[in-house]
Amino acid sequence: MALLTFVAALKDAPEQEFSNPYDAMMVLIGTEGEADVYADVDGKREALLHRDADGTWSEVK
Amino acid sequence: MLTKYPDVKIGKVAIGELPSGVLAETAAYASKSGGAALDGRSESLIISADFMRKTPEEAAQQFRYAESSKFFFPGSAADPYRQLVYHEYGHVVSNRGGRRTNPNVGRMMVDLFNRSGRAEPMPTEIPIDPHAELKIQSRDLLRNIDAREAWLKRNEQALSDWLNDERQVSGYSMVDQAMPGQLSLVTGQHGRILPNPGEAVAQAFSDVELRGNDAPSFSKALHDAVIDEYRKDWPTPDEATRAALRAPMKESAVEALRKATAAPVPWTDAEFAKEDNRDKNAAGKIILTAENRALAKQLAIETYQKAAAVEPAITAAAKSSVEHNGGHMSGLAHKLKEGPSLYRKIQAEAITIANGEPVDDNDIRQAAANIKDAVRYTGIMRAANYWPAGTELRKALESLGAKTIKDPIGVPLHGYRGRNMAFEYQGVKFEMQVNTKVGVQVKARAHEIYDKSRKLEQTLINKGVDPMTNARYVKMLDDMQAMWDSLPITKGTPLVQTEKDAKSGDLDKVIYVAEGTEHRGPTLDKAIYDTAKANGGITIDLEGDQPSDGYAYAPRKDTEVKILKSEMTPEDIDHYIDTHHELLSQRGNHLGLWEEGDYFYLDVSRVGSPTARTIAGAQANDQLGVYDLKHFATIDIGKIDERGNYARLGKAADLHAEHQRKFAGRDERASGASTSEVPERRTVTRYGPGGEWHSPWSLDPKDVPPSGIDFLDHQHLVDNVLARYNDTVGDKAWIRSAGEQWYPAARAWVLKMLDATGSDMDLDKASAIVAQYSENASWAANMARAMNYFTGKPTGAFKATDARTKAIAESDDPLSMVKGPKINNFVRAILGYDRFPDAVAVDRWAARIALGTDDKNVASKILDRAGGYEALADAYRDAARQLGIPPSELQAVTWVHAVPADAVVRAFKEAGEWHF
Repeated sequence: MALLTFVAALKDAPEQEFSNPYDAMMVLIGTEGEADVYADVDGKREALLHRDADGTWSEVK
Repeated sequence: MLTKYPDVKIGKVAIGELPSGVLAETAAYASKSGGAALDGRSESLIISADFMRKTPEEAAQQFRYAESSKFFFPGSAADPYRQLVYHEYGHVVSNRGGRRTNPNVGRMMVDLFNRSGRAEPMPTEIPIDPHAELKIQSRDLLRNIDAREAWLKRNEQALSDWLNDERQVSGYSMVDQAMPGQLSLVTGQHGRILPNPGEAVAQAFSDVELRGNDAPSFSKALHDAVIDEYRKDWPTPDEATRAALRAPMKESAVEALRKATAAPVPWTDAEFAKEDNRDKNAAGKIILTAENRALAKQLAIETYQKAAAVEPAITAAAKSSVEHNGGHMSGLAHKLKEGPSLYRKIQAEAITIANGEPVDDNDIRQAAANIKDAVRYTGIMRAANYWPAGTELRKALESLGAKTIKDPIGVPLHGYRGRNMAFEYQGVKFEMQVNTKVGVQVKARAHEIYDKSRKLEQTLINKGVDPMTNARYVKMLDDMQAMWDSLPITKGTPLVQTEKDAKSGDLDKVIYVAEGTEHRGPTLDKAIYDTAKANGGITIDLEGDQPSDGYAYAPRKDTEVKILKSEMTPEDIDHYIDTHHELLSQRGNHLGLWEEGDYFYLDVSRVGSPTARTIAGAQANDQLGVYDLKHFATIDIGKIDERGNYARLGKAADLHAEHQRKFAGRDERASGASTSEVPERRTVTRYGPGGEWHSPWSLDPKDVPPSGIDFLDHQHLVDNVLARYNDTVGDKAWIRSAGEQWYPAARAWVLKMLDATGSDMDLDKASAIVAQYSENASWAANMARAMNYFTGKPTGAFKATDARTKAIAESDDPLSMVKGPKINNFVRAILGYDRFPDAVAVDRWAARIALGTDDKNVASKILDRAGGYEALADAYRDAARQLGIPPSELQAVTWVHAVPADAVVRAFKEAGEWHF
């Protein structure tokens, strides 16, 4: 059985895992600096969203 | 333990086989990436079956030995089972907190020892200057470590004596388990001198739970620490976690938690303002003053906060009791009433209390105190133990410490059959409605009629007409009563005369307690009568279920009764049910009623699956025919020969195949599904988190006609969705939990964005903008564009899309600006079930789930056809009604269950694929 989690990663800060992507994004709102949101399927990760140092979000293709 | 520390996640609690010598084991979930455990989940808590096979004396003997050898703490042998469970639960609580106490165990022990008075004073550490050169910082840090290590070495014996004399730790926590009787240490790296910190924490936890204040100081310190860690991670959405992440480097987590608790509630002023009461008095002036509103708002927020604080304990106790009795909790995502709703209610109630006088502070406070549903639950019980299970639920809540405010003493002979209870726990009143699955549906239908009847009643009164003289109004009342009466009363349910008696609390009003399943009044009979008259027949069981598929036959000769069509009344049916009640109550048996010539025939009918086996069973009972309920056709299977003996007309398999062939062509035209194969073809769909999956029904692409959607069978779609949802139990319960949080989390995210960016935009508008950016975008692109929009960055979207969001932002009616069923439903699902109860976003994944197929193209084809979206959405809505949960929640849960693991990431990246 696969397990799906979502990871919020703020640069230089501990990562946080959530069961849905909205919570992962929410913890990053109000913070500054580079950040990523990952999907994690049984340990296999893929980046979904990236925020650059200027605060602009983009889809990770 | 579950009551005291409810906010844990355990996949399974069981007695099971474990390796020899292992008394119990708690398995934590650990992601392969090595990240923190999701939700701090523990996979299982297993107590050794070997251990449980011992007699209590043998178990105590084993623990006495462990206790005397200092392997376990003193007092363990007094209650080995409790000690064992508390220890394992310590792991569960520790897992929930991310096991963050473990790395600090050694340091905590040394600090306590340092303060014990048995050690020489610890050397003062050199302060580390964060602005100094890195090599200077490193040098000072190493000096501190060295000094501490040297101090430990000098005090090793004193530390060992302290541990041994005061029994500060158990041997189980120490590395040298081969030397019971002497607690020894490994003086290792900085801060990690206890070799088995995880066990030390669990041992300390059970020690304090068992001995309370008598436990040694180190146990108490570890117990405190692990509880603190556990409390930091409330379920999402979680202000504490958010705050901790926002300031991870500068602020302690404890401080962040304190701030989060004091943080503003998650609603904007605008959201409250929308609920301002604008009722006017006789002079045409708005009744409530600004001061009234301010107080009402403050009390609404306080009520919400208090409710949110006590809710986890109530939820855990209720869920445990309901599930123990085979039921489930419905709509848990909506258990807390939102602040603006409370605000609206307090204002209205205060006006009622003031009764025409100006509203004062006392009225507002009284109105807030009257709120009974700041937390509200619905427990869906099995019909068979409906009432006794409700009583057990009440007792479970009372054991928690809740006071019962309201609990009906039974159900009325006719009328409302739900059980609406109210309690008070730690100053918070809450509602607990108990019903059966069918009862919930009846309630929804009855409520629709109730709303209409209230409007009609008011109109009639305004016209000076007594409503009871109006035929339409009286029929509405009769219909409502008939709906409730159609529900069976099951064993253990007390009956009273009226609804008023049910609420009276006077146990003398109980007429009797049902000893088995029974139907009150003529309603079931009347329903059967009406259906038979209209359709020429009916097959129905005593629970009111009418099978739509299967082969029916009457297994006995002596149960058939015929009555002249012109003379049959509901009472005849009632009489037949009474006479054959025992037989009709048996599983699989139904009342069969059909017309033939001038007569109606009644019989006890057995309904089996539409297979050769059922035909064979009927032939063994000398049946001349079976009735195919799906095709409304009789299959002749036997005859009486010249000698008066029964003779089969053919082999069961041949008769069945021939009959199915006859209808195969029609079925294909009618439903697009082949019925020539029995059992029905079930396709194995790809593996999602729910595991290998067989949908109850699968749409074969070959069966899709060139146009139209009429070939779809609504029930097939509903069954597919329900099956997915019903699979999210046990170790898949996390799927349900994730789905339940999905849309509330999305809404919280939008609100958070507005709050963080200081936007004064309302939630409707913001959600519409988020949805608009989903146009021609993957989910990730959608989110990126939305977040850029709200933070004032270039969105990265097409100019046309930016122009449209600008138009939405400037519109007074933003929701009307959103185009297309999927995006419209997406917005409304975010905005919430309370406002848009039918909203359900059906994307291609959701379509595949309902259709039981992995074929994306087929799903798209159906969605794109006229009426396709609504047909699929209706399946979710109907299934959700049966479950008593929002359709959007059902869709989210089934989505998480279904999407194959290797396709998840792709799902987020496929353009237009995913629109939660």
